[in-house]
Amino acid sequence: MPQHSDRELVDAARAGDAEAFGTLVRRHQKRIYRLAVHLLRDAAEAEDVTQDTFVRAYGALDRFDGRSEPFTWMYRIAVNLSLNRIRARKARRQSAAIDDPRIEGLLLDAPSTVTDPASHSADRELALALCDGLDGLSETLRTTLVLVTVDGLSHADAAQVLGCPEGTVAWRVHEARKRLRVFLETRGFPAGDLES
Amino acid sequence: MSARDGKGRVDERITELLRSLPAPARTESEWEAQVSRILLRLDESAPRDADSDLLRPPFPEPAPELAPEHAAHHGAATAARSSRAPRREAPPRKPAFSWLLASVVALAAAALLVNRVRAPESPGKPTQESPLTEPVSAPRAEAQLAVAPPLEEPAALHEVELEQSAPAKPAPEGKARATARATRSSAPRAPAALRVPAPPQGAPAELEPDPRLKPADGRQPLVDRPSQGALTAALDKVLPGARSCLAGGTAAVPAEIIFGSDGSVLRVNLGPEVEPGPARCVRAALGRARVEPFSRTSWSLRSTLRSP
Repeated sequence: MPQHSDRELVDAARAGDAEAFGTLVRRHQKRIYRLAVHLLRDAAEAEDVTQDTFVRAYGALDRFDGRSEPFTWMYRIAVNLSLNRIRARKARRQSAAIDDPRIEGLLLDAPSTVTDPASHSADRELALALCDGLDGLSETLRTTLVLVTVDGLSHADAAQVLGCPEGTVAWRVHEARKRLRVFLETRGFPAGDLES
Repeated sequence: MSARDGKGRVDERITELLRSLPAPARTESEWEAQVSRILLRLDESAPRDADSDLLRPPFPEPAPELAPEHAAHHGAATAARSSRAPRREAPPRKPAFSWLLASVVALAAAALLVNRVRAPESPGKPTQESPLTEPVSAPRAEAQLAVAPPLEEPAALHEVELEQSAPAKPAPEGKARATARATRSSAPRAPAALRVPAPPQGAPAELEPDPRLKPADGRQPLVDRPSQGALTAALDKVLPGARSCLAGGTAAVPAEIIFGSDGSVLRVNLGPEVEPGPARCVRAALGRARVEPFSRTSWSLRSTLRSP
């Protein structure tokens, strides 16, 4: 079967071809799930958001105007759903879960697989501090940084997702990195150590 | 090497680390199961019944974010707009005069908060100055006033009090945080000692505060809550002991560790499936965890214990 483009799949799904939509889901679910994990820091919620993203996108296919790529359009839905969840739980949350999937992943890194345990431990400490720093950023800066740096979207694609100019994305990424740099310094990771 | 090069290299390192942050691994069959679930939900849900709010930009302000010092000049109106705008599933937007009204109310609330800070009976509580903290506008501070959820004990878990006194209760969390933030946003930066309001003339001598509420070294302000890194490090030290208590018994047990503001463990709640003997052992092991003192009344940490 020839590889269809996202746009062709969207057109087919609009015409009622659910399997075409299934192909779109297979193509993009991993990235959307990873994005949601890093925005929500909760694997179960990220799974819900991933499913909701595709269900809502399917319901809104008629409103896809084709000005952006289907995947940036779905990313926007995923970001909005994630932010809604974050805001909904902000008021009631009084605890931290060590089940944070990012932290769990860092803890599960088996020391036996690394050649230099000391360096591995230092990297892990740094990554944990970085997660803390990331969580302390404003919603806008954090979302932009996750899209661009963690997920690897281009500034142009991130601008499409966020509905803002590319310059704004660039500024936010710059500002977020600057704040993380300062934050890491206050946590005992001086710039000199990070350069290596 | 210039400082600019150095910053560039640090930024690259930060980017590299962020890019390598893990996400939970899943098998292909799990991904395929998710596709099936999604397709099933497509059949169940009414098609074309979408929420158009989700298609709008998440952060509607098109202009670049202002640096903190500039943002302060924009005042409460901007903040009120940005704090409301992301509510995508909220009702349609109100007319412009509503924003004006919201701004006036916000300014009034801010003025009230500042006055309360200056009042002798409400001394500011020290909070962590973080480089990530942005200036807080009145509406956000006001929102935090409304948010002071009590710590709820899960009914399904049984608990035991550890042998230690409960920490003295600090001021209500939402109020104290809002007050402290309002002080920071409305006044120029000053050393922490200068920001504590002076007692009125003729007031009784100040009582010595509970030493557990003091910063650890007497200079640094308390952090608002333990950092994820500190919690992880604390848990790292005690988990092996706790896991060994489960050897040969229950495979996995949900656990909640409640830290008091002095950083020690107040309580350990375990799922009902664990036997009393191992439960005592687990509680004793987890009870040895320590984090840095923090300003909230308590902070709980949930984790799942697995037998080794």
